[in-house]
Amino acid sequence: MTEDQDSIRKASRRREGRSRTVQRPRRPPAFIAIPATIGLALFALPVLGLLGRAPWSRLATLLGSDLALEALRLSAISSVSAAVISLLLGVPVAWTLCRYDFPGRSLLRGLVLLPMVLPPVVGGAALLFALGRRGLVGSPLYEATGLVLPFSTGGVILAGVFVAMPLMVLTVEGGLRSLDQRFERAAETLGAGRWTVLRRVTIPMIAPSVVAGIALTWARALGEFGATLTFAGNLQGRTQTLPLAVFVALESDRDAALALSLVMVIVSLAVLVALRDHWWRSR
Amino acid sequence: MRTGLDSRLVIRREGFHLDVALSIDPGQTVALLGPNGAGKTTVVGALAGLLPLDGGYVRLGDRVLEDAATGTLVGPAERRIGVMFQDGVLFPHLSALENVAFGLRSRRVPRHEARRRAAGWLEAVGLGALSDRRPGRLSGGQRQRVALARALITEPSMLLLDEPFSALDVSSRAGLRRLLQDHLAGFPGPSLLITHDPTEAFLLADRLVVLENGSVAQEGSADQIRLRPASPYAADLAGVNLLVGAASGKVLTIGNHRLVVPEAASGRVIATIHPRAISIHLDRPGGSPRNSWPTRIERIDHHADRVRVQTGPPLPVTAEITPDAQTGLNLAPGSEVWLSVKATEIQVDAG
Repeated sequence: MTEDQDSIRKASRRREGRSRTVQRPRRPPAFIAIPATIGLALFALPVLGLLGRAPWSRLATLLGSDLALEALRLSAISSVSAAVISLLLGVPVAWTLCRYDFPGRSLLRGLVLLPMVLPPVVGGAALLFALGRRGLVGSPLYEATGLVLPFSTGGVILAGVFVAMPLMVLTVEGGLRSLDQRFERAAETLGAGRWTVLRRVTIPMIAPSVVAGIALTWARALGEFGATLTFAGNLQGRTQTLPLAVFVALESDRDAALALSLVMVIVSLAVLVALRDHWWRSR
Repeated sequence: MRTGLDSRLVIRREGFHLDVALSIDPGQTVALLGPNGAGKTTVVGALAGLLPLDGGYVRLGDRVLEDAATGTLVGPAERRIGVMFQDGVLFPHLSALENVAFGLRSRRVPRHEARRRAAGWLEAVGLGALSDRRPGRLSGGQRQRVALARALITEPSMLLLDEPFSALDVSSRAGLRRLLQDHLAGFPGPSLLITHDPTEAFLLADRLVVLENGSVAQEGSADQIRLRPASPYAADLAGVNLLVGAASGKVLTIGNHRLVVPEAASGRVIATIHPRAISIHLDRPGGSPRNSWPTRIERIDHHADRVRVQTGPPLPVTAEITPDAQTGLNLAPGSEVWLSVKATEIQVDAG
């Protein structure tokens, strides 16, 4: 390649670079704006409905009830636990799926993502058949340790992990896949063992994905309903999380249901907005 | 050869086969040159222990780092081979200081001590003031300096430099080259410089190895390769005219000869002229070329599809023409001719 060709190539690359950073148009054309407005309204209206009907003056009393307080406490404990367990197990799963080639890897990846597409009720039922007191694993587990998962807080956490961990695996695997492995190789040539490479290079470099994974799994576990109800039941103070409490309250005390729903909307929205900001910054 | 490199690297991949024997004496720098896809970066990976060998061995002094026959394999972390990767590959989440200290920290040097020594190395590569900056806020040349300090701080037994200049502009190239010259001169172990730029190879290396299609096409000193290039690629890179002179504006003085160059420069410079860019005329040429001078042909070498003509004073250079042109002009050693070269064909690097 001559210098001339080379400089032409470079110049055209610069031109491409400019056209990519071209100024954004001020407003979208009508054929985009109209369907987009309808779509956004679809998201915004239910939230507005909730805000409009919320019993603002009685909010403190409603959220101070035993039902509400216990559901809040249980949801906080189980969603945080589910996120932590998803982190501890999901990162190694993502690592294995991303970095190692073995027969059946595609099948395994499908299996990991299954809870995302499965109706949660079906997931809960499957958990019950596997881990119930007479289940495939549950029965020997009970005989050996006396541990019963269904209809316990542990069951709520397990149901949360089951439905939420795929999100952790997906985001972390995505982060690992886009990480240039030359950074890890460079660390190795500098004398770093595998643990040091993981701790000082890989994890810090995929931190945005890990943080996103934590937030998504936590939010998903917080909102879990179907699998929890099927596998853990609806026992106040033991397995009745916020979504279950809302469901029950809708029958008896609409204002209480609204108040609890409001809590979930605000908390989830806050997490998603914070997450969005994080992604924005890391780009 | 107590701490020298002795290796034979065999790596087989789908559609690519590398088989290279490479030895480097302690204190010696070998330049590995080759076109893209020749396997240069594969050689770096194999020596550093990042790509396992399918055959052959790597010995460094009396240590066997890898031997495919016996299954011996020392991992990259224990090889003590410093690598300066293409584009630096600095850790983007660590400051320049932490990048340099990384190798010491990995070898369990206490944090305070590691940072103190890293600061010393950053000073030595001229970046003492920028130690808190992350790689994203350093220029290409500064990043390569950090990469050099990071590779040298652990006192490796061997140094691998993978295209250290490839991402740099002309001015930062010269600075980094001087820095590398200093550090390579003081480095006790063998060094391997991967490059595709003959100028860098000639200036930094004691010996050249030309790699083509996964095997060694030729090795030897620059002069040996210049006299008997074994392949068109080798002829191309060894035949390049390198002229050291003093620049003042757009005029370059070499000995008592003057050349007009395309860009203004000052001080000591290296001018590179490809033999194909030099034309031979029987009479004084007119037209656009800014540089022309009379000389006498000293020697003519025939290669497959081209003829290399070496000329004498005032500016000894090699020109390359076709066999037809040679017969047409009736050129022979002793012929009086005029040479011409366009100013734009002269590449000038700060020396």
